[in-house]
Amino acid sequence: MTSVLTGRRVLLVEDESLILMLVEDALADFGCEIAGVASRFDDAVSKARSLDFELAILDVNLNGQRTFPIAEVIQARGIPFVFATGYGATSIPEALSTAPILQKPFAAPELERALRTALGGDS
Amino acid sequence: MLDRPEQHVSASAEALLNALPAAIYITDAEGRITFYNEAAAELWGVRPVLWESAWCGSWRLYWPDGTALPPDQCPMATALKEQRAISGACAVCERPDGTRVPFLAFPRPLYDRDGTFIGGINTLVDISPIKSAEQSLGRRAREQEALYRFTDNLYRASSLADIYAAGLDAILETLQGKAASILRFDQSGTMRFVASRGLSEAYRAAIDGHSPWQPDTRDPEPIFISNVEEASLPDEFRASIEAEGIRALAFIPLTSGGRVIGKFMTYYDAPRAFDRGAIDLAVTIARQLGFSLERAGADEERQQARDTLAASEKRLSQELDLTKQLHEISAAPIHEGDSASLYEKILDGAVNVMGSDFASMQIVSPERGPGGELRLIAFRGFDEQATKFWEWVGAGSQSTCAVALRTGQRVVCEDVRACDFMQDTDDLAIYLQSGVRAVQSTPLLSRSGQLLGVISTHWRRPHRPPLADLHRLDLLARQAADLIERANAASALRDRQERLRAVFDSPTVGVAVLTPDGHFIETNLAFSELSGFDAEELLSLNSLQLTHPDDRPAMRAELDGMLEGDRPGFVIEKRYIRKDGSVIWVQNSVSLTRDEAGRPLHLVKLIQDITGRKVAEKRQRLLIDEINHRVKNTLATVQSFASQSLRNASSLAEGRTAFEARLMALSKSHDVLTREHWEGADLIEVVNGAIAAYRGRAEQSRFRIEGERLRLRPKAVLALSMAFHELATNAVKYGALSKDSGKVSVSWRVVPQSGRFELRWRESGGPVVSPPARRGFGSRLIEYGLAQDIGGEVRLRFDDLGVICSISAPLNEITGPK
Repeated sequence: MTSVLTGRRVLLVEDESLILMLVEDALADFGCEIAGVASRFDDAVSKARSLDFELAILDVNLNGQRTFPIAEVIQARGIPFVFATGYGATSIPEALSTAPILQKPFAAPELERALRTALGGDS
Repeated sequence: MLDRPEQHVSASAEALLNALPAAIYITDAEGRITFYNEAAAELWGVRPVLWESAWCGSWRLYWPDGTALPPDQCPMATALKEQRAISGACAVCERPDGTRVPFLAFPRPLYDRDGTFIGGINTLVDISPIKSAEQSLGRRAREQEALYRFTDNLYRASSLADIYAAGLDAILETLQGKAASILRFDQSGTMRFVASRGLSEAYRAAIDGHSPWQPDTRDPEPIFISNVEEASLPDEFRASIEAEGIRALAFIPLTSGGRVIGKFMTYYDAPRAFDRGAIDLAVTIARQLGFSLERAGADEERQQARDTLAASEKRLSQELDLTKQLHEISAAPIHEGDSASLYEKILDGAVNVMGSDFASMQIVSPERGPGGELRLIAFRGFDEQATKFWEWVGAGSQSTCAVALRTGQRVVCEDVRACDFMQDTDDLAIYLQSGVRAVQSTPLLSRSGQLLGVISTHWRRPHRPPLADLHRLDLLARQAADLIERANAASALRDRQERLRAVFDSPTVGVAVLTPDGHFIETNLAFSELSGFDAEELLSLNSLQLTHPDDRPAMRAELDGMLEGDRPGFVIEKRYIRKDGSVIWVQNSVSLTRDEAGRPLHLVKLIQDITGRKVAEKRQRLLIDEINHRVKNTLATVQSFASQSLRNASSLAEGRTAFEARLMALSKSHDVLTREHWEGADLIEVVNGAIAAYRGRAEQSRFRIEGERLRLRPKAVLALSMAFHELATNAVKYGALSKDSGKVSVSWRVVPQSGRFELRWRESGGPVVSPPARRGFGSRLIEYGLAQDIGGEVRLRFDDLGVICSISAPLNEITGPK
C-alpha cells in the first residue's frame, strides 16, 4: 500500500522522548522515513537548515522555547510542515498560520491527515 | 284771757297793735308772754300760749351764725333781766315748718306810772328780704370770682384736658349742680363725652352719642329742664336720668363760628328753677369755653401740622437711610464670608425700621428633617442663654419664628403674655427672661416663593408695629431673601468646585482637560506621574503623541465619533508611551463638554494606570497556556505509554500490566515534582522512589546507592524516574532481583574535568543475562528516550555478571542551567 506519504523523509522536532517514539512508530506505519529528530532548539535549527527532508513535524514549545523561527527556516526552504501543540491555535503567528496544527494528544489518523494536508493533498 | 291776772293791753290798744305790720309782743316782769300781735304770730309761724311761753315766742332760736340761742339769753331776756332797752339785736327764728327767719329785736322794759318795772315790749323786724339781697350779692361776687378763676385757668391751660378741667370747675362752682360734663362732636359728627364729674360710667355710656343739635345747627339755644318729672323726655333717657338721681338738668351749646361744636351739661338732684342770672352765667361759661376750645383747636391744628411735618421729615430721612442701606446691601458683591456682614446690615436696618429693642435673623436648614429647622445667623440684644436656646428652632416650636416657618406668613404678637399659642411654653419663658414683650416674625421668601428664613424684631414693651413699618420691613426682607439666595448659590458653587477640585487632586487618577483637538490645557499631578511629563511639558503636547502608535487609530475613531455627536463620552484601554520610553497600559474615560451653542468646548479625561492589571492578565493567560501545554503533553506521554506497552506485549493482559506499572511510575514522579512545586528533586529521592516497590525491609541490603547530592531539573526527574522504573522492572523479572543473592548498585558522580554527570546502574549476583532477542519498549525508553531527554548517552549492557546501565550527560542537562 503506497500513498503520498510513502518514503517521505520527515524531520521530527519534539522534546518529549515518549511522544517522539509514538510519532516515530506512527510515521513508520505510514511508510515514512525519519530524516532526523531534534529535541534541542539549536540542533533543530541546524537540521532544519541543512538536513535533507520533505516534511517536518514541529512541537511549538521546545523546552519552553517557541519553535516559530525554526518553522520560518523550513517555510523559507519551501518544505511543508505540521505544528504539534498543547496550546490553542491562536498562539501561531499569522505568517505561519497556513501550516496544519495538530492538537496534542493526537491519534494516528489525525497525524496522517495533517501530514497529507501539509503536502497539499487532501486524501 | 278773762282769767288772766292782769291785762297789760287794753282792747283798743290790741286792735291797734294787731294792725301794725311789725311784730310786737309783751311780757310781764318774769318774761311770760302776755300779748303778741298777728305780725308776730306770722313771723314765729306759731302761736305761743299767753302767760306760759317765756322770753320769746319763737319755736327755736339761733344766733345769726346758726348756733342755738337759749330763750333765756335772747335779746328780750337780756332787756328784761337788765331792765335796759336793746336796739336791733340780731337773731334767727326757726318755724315748726323748718323755715328760718332772720330778724332784728328791739326789746325795752315797761314801767307803770309809778315807775315800777312791770314787764317788757319787743318789736321784731323781719329782715329776710335784706338777708336775701345780701346773699344774692355774695353769690354774685362768688360767681364773678369763679368766672375770673375760670378765665385765668383757661389762659393758663396748656392742653385740652386743662381746658375741660377749668370748665368743669367753673360750671360746678357757679351753677351749683351735683355733676357736670362736657361733650364734643367727634370727627364722625357724633357727640361724645370728653370730660365729666359726678357721673357714673353707666350713665355716660347710655347717653354718649346723643345730642339735641347737629354739628351744623346754627345759633342753638340752651335747653333747661327744671323738673325731669314734668319734662317730656324719651323713655330711654328718662330711665337713665332717673337712675342717676338727676331731677333737673341743662344743655348748654358750645359754639365756634356760630356752629355747634359741643355742649356742657349741669345736673341737679332736685328740681330747680333756672333764673335769668343762671342762664346768663351758663351762656357766659359756654362762650368762654367755646373760644378756648376754638383757640386750642387752632393751636392743635398748627401743632398737628408741625408734628405731621416733623414726622414726614423724619420718615423721609428714614426712607432715605433705608434706601441707602438697601442699596448698599444689594450692590455688595458676595465674597467668602461677606454674607455674614450683610446679614448684620440687614438686622441694623430692621432695628431702625421697626424701632425695636432686639432683632434676629434665621435661615432654613432643610436637611434638618421634615419641615426644616431655623438656624440663628445674626441677632441683636439677646444674651448667650437666649441665643443658645434659639440657635436651632424646629417647626414644632411655639415661637413666632417657628409659626412663620410653618405657615410662611408674618406673625405679629403684640404682647407675648397674651399670645394664646405661646402660653406655658419654654419659648414664652425665654422671651420674658430676655425682656421681650412684643415680637413679630416675617418670613424671607425667595422670588419663587420658597421659604429661606425668618427675620424677627422684638420690643421690651407690648407693641403694635404700624403698617408703614411693616411695609418697610418687607423691603428689607426682600433684600435679605435675595442675599440668602445668592449666598446659597455661591456656597453651592463653591462646594461643587471643591468637590471637583478633590477629584482633580486625586493622587491615583490622572485628570486632564484638553482642547477638542487633543492639546492639553490643564493636568493634575497624578497625570504627570503617570506620563512622566510635568505639567509644563504637557502643555506643548497632543494626547495622541502620548498614545502608543498601535492604539492611535482606535483612539482617533472614538474621538471622532464623540465629536460628531454620537455619544457624550467613551472609555478606552490603550497604551501610553511615557517620557522615558516605557509603555504603560491606561484606561481613558473621556467626556466632552460643549458651549451654549453646542460646539465642542473641552475634552475631560480621567486616566488610570492599568498596567498592573494588564500584566496580571497576561501572566494569567500564560499560566493557563502553560497548564494546557503540560496537561496535553502529559496526555500524549500517557498515550505513548499505552501504545508502546500494548504494541510490545505478548498478550493484552501483559500489556495492560506493563502500562499500569508505567503509569504509576509516571504518577509517582509527578508526585515528587508536585511536592517540590515542579522546581526539581534530589537524585537520591528519584532513585529511592523508583526502587521503593522492590525494596522491602528485609531487602534493604540488596541496594547500594552512592553519589553526591544533586538537584535535578524536572525533565531529568521524569526521564530518570521512568528509566529506573524500567531497569528495576527488568531486574525483578530477569536480572539480579530475580534471585535472592542478587544485588543492585546505583552510583553517580560529576566528573570534574569534563563537567559531565555519570551514573551507573549495576546488577550483580543474579543469573547470567544475555541481550534479549528483540529489544522491547523498556530498552528503547532507556537507551533512546532517556538519551533524548537528557541530551546524553545511555548504554545498556547485558553480560555474564548482570545488567549494567551507564548514563552520561552534560551536567546542565541534568540539573538545569545555573
